[in-house]
Amino acid sequence: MNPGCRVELLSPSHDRASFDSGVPELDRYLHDQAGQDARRKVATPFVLVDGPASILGYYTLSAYSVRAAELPDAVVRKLPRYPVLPATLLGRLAVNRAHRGQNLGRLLLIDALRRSLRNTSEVASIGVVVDALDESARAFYLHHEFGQLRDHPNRLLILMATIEKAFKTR
Amino acid sequence: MTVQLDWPPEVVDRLSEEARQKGLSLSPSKGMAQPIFPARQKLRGDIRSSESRRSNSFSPEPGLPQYGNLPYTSEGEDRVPQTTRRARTQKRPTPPAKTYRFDARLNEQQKLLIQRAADLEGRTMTDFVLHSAEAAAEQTIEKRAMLVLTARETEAFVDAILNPPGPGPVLRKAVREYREKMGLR
Repeated sequence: MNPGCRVELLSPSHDRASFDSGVPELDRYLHDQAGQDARRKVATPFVLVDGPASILGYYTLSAYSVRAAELPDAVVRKLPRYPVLPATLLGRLAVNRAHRGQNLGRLLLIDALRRSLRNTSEVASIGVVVDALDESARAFYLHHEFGQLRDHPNRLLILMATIEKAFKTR
Repeated sequence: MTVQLDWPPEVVDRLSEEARQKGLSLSPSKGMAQPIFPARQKLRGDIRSSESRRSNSFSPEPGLPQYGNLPYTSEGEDRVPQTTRRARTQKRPTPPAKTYRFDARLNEQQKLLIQRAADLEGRTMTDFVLHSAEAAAEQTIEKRAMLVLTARETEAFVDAILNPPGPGPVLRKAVREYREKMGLR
């Protein structure tokens, strides 16, 4: 990877059509839908680039909510009953097949966490939620210290407080 | 298939009156369903007529129970809503909202299943399918935008919020590497 690589908002100048992650669903999304989602403000796609056009990887962020069940009395005083808490959804994350083995997935993930953390100065978010498409994706997020939810095997979560500490400590 | 008999309105009125006297007005028998529905097409001024006819929601199979107190099944002007009366006197029906067509093919099994469910709820098939699809669409969108925790997940979640775990070695290392690669301090 060149040192000049950077993450930026998806724009029409990026060559989306040639992106190939090996997962058809993730490719199709970038080819056909990501631009539309960005225009409609449904999700914000970010791309990792090192040249003028070619995309090494991408991820999307969008607003999300976590609704808790009725809370036990012991904590009701600390949080509202039936709270709906704002969160950030890391909806998709994919790396171009030609650039595998360079830890770009990790780079994209940390970039997404950093961006989510920075956004909390404007819009509150309790943490970042991901939807793992398969077992290897699940293992990837677990390895990066996301927490598991007992009744939602494919949703994983990392608290913003944890992300904040990770960026504060050296 | 719906058999459309174009009965004169007087006959229809007489039949509905007779049914009402027998306490059957809101659920006409097989024979009743046919004469009543063609009659409504004569109400040119009915604000809903053109739209309803287009969406086909008022041509049910014979025997479908009628489920509402509709103005044209009762006699006299008393039970006709204000809006309808106004539309009728002005002779200018409100233009219907823009509608879209949606065609779908289904096999016999699907058709029978859906028809049966629609019959149970006293709806037309179109009505039933549209309502069901709408509910399913809302659910899908909500699922995409919200995570609803179960009771035991909530317990763990609240616990984590009150005592957030610190970053472990993997996360710290990943952040360090990220800083180097991206040329941050």
